[in-house]
Amino acid sequence: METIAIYYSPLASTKVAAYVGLGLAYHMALVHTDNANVSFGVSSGPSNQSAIQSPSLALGAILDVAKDIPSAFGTLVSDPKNDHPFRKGRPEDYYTQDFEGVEYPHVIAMTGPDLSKQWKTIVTTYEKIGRLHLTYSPVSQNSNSMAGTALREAGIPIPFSVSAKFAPGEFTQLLCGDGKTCAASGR
Amino acid sequence: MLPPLILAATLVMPHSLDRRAPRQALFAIASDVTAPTRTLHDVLMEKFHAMNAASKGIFHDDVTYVVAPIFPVGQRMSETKRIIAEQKLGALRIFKGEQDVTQGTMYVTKFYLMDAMFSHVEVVIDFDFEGTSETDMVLRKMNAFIDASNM
Repeated sequence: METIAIYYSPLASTKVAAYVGLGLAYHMALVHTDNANVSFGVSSGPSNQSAIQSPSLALGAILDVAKDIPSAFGTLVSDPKNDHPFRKGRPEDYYTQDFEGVEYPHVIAMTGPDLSKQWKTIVTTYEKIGRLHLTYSPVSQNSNSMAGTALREAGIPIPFSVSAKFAPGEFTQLLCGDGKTCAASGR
Repeated sequence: MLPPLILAATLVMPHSLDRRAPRQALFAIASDVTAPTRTLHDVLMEKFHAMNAASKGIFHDDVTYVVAPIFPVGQRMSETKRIIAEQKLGALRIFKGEQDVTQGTMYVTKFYLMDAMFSHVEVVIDFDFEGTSETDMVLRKMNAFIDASNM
């Protein structure tokens, strides 16, 4: 059986979230594993990592989303190496394990005999959103928003259970029909 | 054979790094890294800022060519450990995932280039050592990647 899973990589840098009781924040990566046990992943992130991240810049980024201009973190970009094949557990697998080879927490979002159609939708959604140059906002419009939107576009519910992790921005909807941004659709 | 003056001029002539042949560029990076005032961390920070200037994000990008000169094939494990400690490149640990070698063991280390509130940028170096114990292990292959984790 094929699977589409969400792997949650913990951000050790979000200790402040853990301090106030939310637990560490996580980055979501989507991974499709086919019947031959070959996996494919998608991920995304900010175009600029150099900004000295602070609460004031994060707040500024929320305001920049409303103005639809790049924030201090730039825009939301998709990984150009998305959808390349890999084997889970191998050294080149940076989607499902940490640098020591310990598997990340994960949730199986869908299982079926052939999930190629759903996976293709996810990959094209990442490409499409990456071309929109949307404002990157670390807490409201980020890589988790890209993952959540891609799952919805593929008809896969975003997991909301005890096994799902704290992933800020995952319910932010980036597309609102016909591939348009929600801002362009007036929603 | 070149006349001595022309030969000397050729040796000291300044070159742009971009215009050098790849092998020459590699040696330039190696000498940059090993110079007393420039650590591997410094050289990779420049790479990190250049990647940001291109505004394409940082996604598991290969920096093996930058790191390779200080970890050459055949290097003994004790020497590898000494360099890692001296340059503050983390701690060498056994890779717990699926091993990539038929003999010997894969080790890994990681160090941060940036650790901010919502993301971090790190460098991961994978080492394949061959040999039966740490006292006789030598480096067979290494790979280095710069990567970012963020929400």
